[in-house]
Amino acid sequence: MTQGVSPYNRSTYRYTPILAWMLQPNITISPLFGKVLFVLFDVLSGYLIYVMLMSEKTGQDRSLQCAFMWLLNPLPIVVSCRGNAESIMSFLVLLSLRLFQQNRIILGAIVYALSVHVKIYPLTYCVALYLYYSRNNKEGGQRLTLQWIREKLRPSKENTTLVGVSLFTFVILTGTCYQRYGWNFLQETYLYHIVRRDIRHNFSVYFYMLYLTAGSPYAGIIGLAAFLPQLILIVVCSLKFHKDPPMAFFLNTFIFVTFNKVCTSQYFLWYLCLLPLVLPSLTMSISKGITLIVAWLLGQGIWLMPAYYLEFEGMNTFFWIWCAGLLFFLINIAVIASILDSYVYTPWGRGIQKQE
Amino acid sequence: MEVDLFMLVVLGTAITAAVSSSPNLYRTVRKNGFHRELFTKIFIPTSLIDAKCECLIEEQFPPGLYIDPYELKNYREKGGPQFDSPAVDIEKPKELSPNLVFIIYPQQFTAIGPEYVTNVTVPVHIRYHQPSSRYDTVQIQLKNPRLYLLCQVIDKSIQMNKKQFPCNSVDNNCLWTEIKYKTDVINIEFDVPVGSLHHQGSVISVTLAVTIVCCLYLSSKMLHTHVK
Repeated sequence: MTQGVSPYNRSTYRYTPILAWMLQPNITISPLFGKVLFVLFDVLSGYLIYVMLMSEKTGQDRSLQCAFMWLLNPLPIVVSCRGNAESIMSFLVLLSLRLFQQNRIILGAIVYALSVHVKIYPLTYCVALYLYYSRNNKEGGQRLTLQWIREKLRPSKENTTLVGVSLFTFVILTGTCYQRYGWNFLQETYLYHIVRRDIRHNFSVYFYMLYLTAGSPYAGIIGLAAFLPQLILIVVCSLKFHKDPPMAFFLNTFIFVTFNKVCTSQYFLWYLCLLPLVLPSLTMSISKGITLIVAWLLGQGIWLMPAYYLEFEGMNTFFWIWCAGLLFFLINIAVIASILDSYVYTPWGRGIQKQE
Repeated sequence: MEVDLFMLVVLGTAITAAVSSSPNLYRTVRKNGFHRELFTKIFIPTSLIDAKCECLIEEQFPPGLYIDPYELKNYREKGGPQFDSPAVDIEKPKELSPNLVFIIYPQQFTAIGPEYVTNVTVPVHIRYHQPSSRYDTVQIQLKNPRLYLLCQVIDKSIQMNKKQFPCNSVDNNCLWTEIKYKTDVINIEFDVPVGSLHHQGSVISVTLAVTIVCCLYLSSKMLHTHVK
């Protein structure tokens, strides 16, 4: 990019040009600039967690503890130092939550649109966000009836601002990039990730099924069957937890990653950055929490063994990778279920209600 | 007696001539799995070529095999070989990939005894291959490469056609001469594990059953969570 050429000339560049633009000092100043930048965003994310928890009257000790759960977590540290830009995403998502917490809808919408522009997955939060800003609509009728849904969907003043500003920002960002880099930009930044059929082994429970059916005429239907549970759960989660956006975002992403067709360890960061925000709402004992964490890590370790033998020893361990994938999937389900069991709702944000 | 001695001398000369009359290529593959190392060693008798020769290897890779140009670029900065490579999509499976041609420039020849010797190690990677209902491994064949020299070839009998390639560290093209060589290896084989289509029925049904059941379980759990 420093030479005025498109970053998409590199075949593996699949992100927004804004990222390439930000990393130009890597060439002009030092190759370490990018890594330092990512570490900085990491630390800022921890700061945002602390500030948001303090705002919800969690108390300084607890807030610091939760912030440290992110700051001292080895996974984001390793990922940022390796040069992965995930910490920018966690920063953007946390920042947008902070702005919505303070009811600064316009700024929040801008940051939210920016986060969707950088990586698509925050798009899964849009239903929860919309419903959050219509949570004060009069609940006409019984829950989950058509009338209830219609009331919830009726746009309030905040909603119109939210949707309008987000769309506007997103269109400006995407339009500018498209104007400069053309179809390549759309293809590499978005379409690639949506249509991605990477059949190489990964944590996803669907890996072996998709690999075996890649050439079959039923591949389309099977892909759809793998997509529907994800969609249904995101909608249910948004409907149920929209009054507590950090919980809605966290669960949304955890479910999205667990049920995704491709799952690599980078994706875990997408919900790990939101976990500290949700912790104060969980009544789980520390020993139970640690058991769940250990089980979750063990699940990955058990998967890594046959995966290593396949990739580096050439042994045919496909069946065992599939079994380990199923096991890890079930462990994730158990973790989500335990979180749901121990969840206690408290109202969130400096919304319209509190101002009255 | 005289005839025997004469025969011995003729035989002796013939054998000496056979040993040192031709360039030789030795190839082997190291490591296992999807990431391997291709080791190539070239021997050329000093009588056949000039002292200051440079050589070039033209590899024709089948679709199932590839070199990662970014990896090679990093490797080059740590002492690896110069190379020339087309763009490579490292994520595609074999069925959606083309044959690729790679050019490798081994280091300068060293004179060892009556021969000039050089070697080069290149990391290569294997793509995913489609699953099979009959075998749990498939084979990839890598043909022997073409060898080219950039210098005066003294013995014209080993000379073949000439071709344009980039000179070593410069972008200009030079005219390289292909040479014949002898080798024990016809081609190199790589074993690739593949998925078993026998599993297809049970994998589809069990995977979808588990995911659908868990989806219903979590949905019902969420709907019953108390959120005022």
